[in-house]
Amino acid sequence: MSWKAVAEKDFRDAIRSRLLIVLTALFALFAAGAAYVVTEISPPQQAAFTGELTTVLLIAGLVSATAIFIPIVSIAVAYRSLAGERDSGSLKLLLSLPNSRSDVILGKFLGRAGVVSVALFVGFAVGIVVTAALADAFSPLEYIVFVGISMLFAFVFIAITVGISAFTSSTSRAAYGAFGLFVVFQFLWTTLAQGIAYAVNGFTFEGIEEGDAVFNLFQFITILDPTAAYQQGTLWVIRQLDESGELQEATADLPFYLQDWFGFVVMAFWIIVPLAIGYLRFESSDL
Amino acid sequence: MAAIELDGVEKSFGDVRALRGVDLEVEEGEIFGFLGPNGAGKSTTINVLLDFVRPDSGSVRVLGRDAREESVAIRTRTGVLPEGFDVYDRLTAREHIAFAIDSKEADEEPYPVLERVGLEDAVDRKAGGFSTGMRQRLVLGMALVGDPDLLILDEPSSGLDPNGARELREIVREEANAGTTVFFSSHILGQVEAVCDRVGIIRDGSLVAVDTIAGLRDNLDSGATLVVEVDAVPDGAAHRLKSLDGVTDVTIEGTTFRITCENDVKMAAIQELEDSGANVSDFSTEEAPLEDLFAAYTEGDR
Repeated sequence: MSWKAVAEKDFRDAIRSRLLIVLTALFALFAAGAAYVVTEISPPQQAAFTGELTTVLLIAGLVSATAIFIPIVSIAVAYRSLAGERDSGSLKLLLSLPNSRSDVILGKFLGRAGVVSVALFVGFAVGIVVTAALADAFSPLEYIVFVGISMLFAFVFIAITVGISAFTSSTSRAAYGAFGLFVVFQFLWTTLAQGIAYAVNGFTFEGIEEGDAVFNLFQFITILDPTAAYQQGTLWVIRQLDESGELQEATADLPFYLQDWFGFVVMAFWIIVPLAIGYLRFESSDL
Repeated sequence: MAAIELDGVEKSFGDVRALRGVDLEVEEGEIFGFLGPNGAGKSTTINVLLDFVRPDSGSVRVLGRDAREESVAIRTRTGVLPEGFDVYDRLTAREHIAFAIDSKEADEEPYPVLERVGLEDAVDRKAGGFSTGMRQRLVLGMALVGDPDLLILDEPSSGLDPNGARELREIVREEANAGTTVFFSSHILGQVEAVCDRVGIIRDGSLVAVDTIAGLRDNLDSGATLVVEVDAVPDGAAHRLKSLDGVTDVTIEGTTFRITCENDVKMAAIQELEDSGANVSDFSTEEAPLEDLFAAYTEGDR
């Protein structure tokens, strides 16, 4: 059970990093600023239509911004987690104690997840004040649910970054690797999915129609992007909470992977698989 | 049961053969000095014991357990001062010891441990501001948590001032008296001589000797230097001494002869001096300096 000791040590250590303090402050500013922009400057279309800005609509507007900001904070919190300890030699200290390598990976993930939770919590706490002041019908429950899903999304990038950090003793390589993957998810994934569909279809887009196998494949690959999964998962919860029914869509007939709840399965996948791969690599390597 | 058992251990990094079939047995309760020049394979051997590095072949057992399969169980009963470690700059001395206590699931308080290693004045200071010697003491403290059965100290004296090195030797002796096996590496024979029961010398990835310091001297027969004080130096005495079997060198300074010879020709040499007409007023023997002994095992073509 020494993953607990590792997680606690790691949390105490990383929470004192100056970078984290800067990022938390930035995130607080961001949350407040985004809440302000969404409510006052460019409200979602529905709000313009109905003339009323609910928390749900505010969240729908916020999620595209948090989808970029949260991965950056998470990568910054976690990229040094293993590579940094390996580089400095403190990993020898960690593994001289009776910690197994799986304790180290799990403890690192939990410790850094704790740290990013604190950062997000502080940021969102500032955001909640602004939101409560500006939204017409503020619902704490919806906001808290949104914070919860955002944390889950942060854990995805913590897991990915810890996994990458397990591969190298160079902190800059760990940072480039994690950031590169973020860029792929954020900006290139759709192109990638299109490329795969194009190739599978015999190097042409001709003849792909909604509902056929290639189109389904394209949609399936698209939803495997954790950023898309986060947005989809958030929408799902928002729809569940939205009593007015305005946001409801007929999704019951779609295949399971297009159901909004599947976003949570994708996020769970992106937490477990990177940690598992990182562990296998870390377990088999000489220090 | 042996505390440490290495059997035919080989390890290569790329095309560098770091360990070329190391066989070593360290008995329970002894203080074992592990010597060799830098780059000879000392740290690789220690890394293999701790499962930091996996050998290509051979078997490694520590405290009766397999070093690869049961590493966590081994490290629960082992205290380690690794080589080339770093501390957590943002954590205090107390937090470091507390982390070791939590990891080892020991039932201890940090303060007495810090007192023991001489850090009682730095308990709540962050380790980032510590000197090399203080970091060394801190990690030694972490190693001592949980009353280990085996202490592995990799180059523990580096970074310690003479006072710190003496305190370290005291702690090592205390632990050994309490039954702990101590495995202690160094590249300086003088540092281990004062505390070690036996030493092993590694060179280019192979163990070249395992013995007591006295045994090493005997094996090498580097012999001793016989220093003889006479009233006056007779003519031809040096020549007569050199013609004796077992005498390798004779130098004369004033009325002092320094005769390098095998142990069993000492009396013959003194007799020869008296026969040649000198009155011997005093004589003594000087053992070969440790550096020479170490060099004899680790340099040249043996």
